[in-house]
Amino acid sequence: MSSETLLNVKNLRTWFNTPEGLVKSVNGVSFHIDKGETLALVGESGCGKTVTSLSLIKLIGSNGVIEADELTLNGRDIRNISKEQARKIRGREISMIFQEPMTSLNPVFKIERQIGEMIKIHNKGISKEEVRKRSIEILKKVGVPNPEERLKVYPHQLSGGLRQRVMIAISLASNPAMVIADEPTTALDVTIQAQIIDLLKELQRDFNTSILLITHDFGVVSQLADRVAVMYAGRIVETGTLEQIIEHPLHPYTELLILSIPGIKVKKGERLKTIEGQVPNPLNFPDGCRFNPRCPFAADICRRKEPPAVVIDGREVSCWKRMEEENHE
Amino acid sequence: MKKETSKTEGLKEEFQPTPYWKDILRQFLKNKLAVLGLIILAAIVIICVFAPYFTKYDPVKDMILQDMLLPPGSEGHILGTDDYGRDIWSRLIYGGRTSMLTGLLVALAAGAFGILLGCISGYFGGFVDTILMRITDIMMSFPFLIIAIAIMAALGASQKNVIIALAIVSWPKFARLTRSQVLAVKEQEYVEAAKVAGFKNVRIMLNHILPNCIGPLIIQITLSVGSAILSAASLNFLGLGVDASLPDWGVMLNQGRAYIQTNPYLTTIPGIAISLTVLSVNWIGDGIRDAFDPRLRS
Repeated sequence: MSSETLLNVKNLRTWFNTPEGLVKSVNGVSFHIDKGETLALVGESGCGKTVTSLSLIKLIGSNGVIEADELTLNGRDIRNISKEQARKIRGREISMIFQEPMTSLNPVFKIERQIGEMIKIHNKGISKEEVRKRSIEILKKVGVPNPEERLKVYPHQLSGGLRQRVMIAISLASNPAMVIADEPTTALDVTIQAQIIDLLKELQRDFNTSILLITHDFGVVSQLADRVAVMYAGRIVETGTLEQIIEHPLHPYTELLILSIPGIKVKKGERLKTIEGQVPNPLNFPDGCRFNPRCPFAADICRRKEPPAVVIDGREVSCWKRMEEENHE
Repeated sequence: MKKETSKTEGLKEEFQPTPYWKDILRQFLKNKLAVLGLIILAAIVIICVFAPYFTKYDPVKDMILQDMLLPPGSEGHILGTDDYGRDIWSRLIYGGRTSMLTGLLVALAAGAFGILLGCISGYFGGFVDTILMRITDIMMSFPFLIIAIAIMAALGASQKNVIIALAIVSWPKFARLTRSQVLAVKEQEYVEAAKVAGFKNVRIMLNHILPNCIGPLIIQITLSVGSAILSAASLNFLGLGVDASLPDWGVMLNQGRAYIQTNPYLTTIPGIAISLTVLSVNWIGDGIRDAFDPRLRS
């Protein structure tokens, strides 16, 4: 499994200065992605998944600060690159698929121009016919029927599924090393979701692209991801392979998250669990483990001290309870 | 995948989407007043552009003093003559050239400058935005005509300077409007997508955001043509604009002023010409606005 590392992130911190105070949206996130691998970043809304991914390509607001102990792409340090260099990484090396195919395409341009622009920008001096040929080719690859005709239509003339395929085509047009898929199936209906997931898998095989999958949907995760990182309140609480996470979640949050959705662990007729409370306010995170106010196992130490990330059974987890259990054994 | 292909191929024949602009045009043509405006304006423009074919008189040189102040309907002079014996119809249609050219150029110049500034202001925001918008505020806080007169006084009277003066006083409207449009559009996901794709700011601004703001801007430009024609006429009426010998609707109004009691047609005729032009331009502008607004569609 573990082949060449494409992206390595250590202790990534993205903080925003807001009128209300310093918001530590991402606070000490570490992970790596190998070439051709899919890492799923899972967590509920507002836990910092999207900010993490946008930090990688330096696309956060001007009030944000990105710091990291290590941030390498293909072995190259990209912590302190200029805006211009960051712009060149975007699209060429890391591209992105958005959640909303309905609004992610520019409504006033035909599909041809939108795919063509991406190809042209990243292949200087390419001829018009070549752009067209490649556009058709890539549309075919993402399973758009009649690609020649689809080039001539506007986004609103396509269905949601087709639009998402076009979005994927655009993001792959520059042949990037990594694609950030930010909830790529959330806005689609279930049958289309399955198609898009199959498509992503297929494309990943063909292009050997790494995917950083951002989602809150364990259903999507279980179908697409190789490894999973579970995020809570700006930190990764647990990392492991898909099987490890699904079958033996170590962190109580992961466990509850999996038990809160039907179909994976919860059998027909059983009740779904809920996680009481809500994501803490990023302006005022609780002391100690950030999950402690909602954790059914919260002990004294959980309220006082933040648990460090420790390796248990070959995977990382940050939880006092697990550490204790491990020490007792 | 196979299934989907065959399905769409079956649909292909019936699925003929209306292009965006055709749709706008269709909506526009449904508006009777706008079409009437378009017809009137087209007629005026054609007559003015091909003025030499519609009159045998020269608007400046053909002064026949013995024929001065002939009323409309006189032989050889459909609309009569002015106080120098010049044919009013000829002056009217030659004057329309000046008026309309001024209106158009003012709208385009003010539009280009205002849109550029509004775009920069809205896209970059922050400090740049504050500075540009305060300049706009200052410009807008001056009474329109007063500042135009001041600029004319400084630059001297000529048609070119009328255009410059009016463009200077009209750009802030465009800057404001563009800024507000850009502010709304730049939050759209496709702009984010363009950023993620690694496009340059200028490219995103001009190629991705601006085309999405173009509807209201076209309307504003159209309506500005009307108001610029009026303002140019005002300046010319005040004697601050073009040379008094040149045919121009504002100049004609000014000349007729002395005869308003004895020969009221001297002022009425250019007045009607101005009103008719501005009215038709405004009708067209309204029509375009309604055509662009999906909520007004039945």
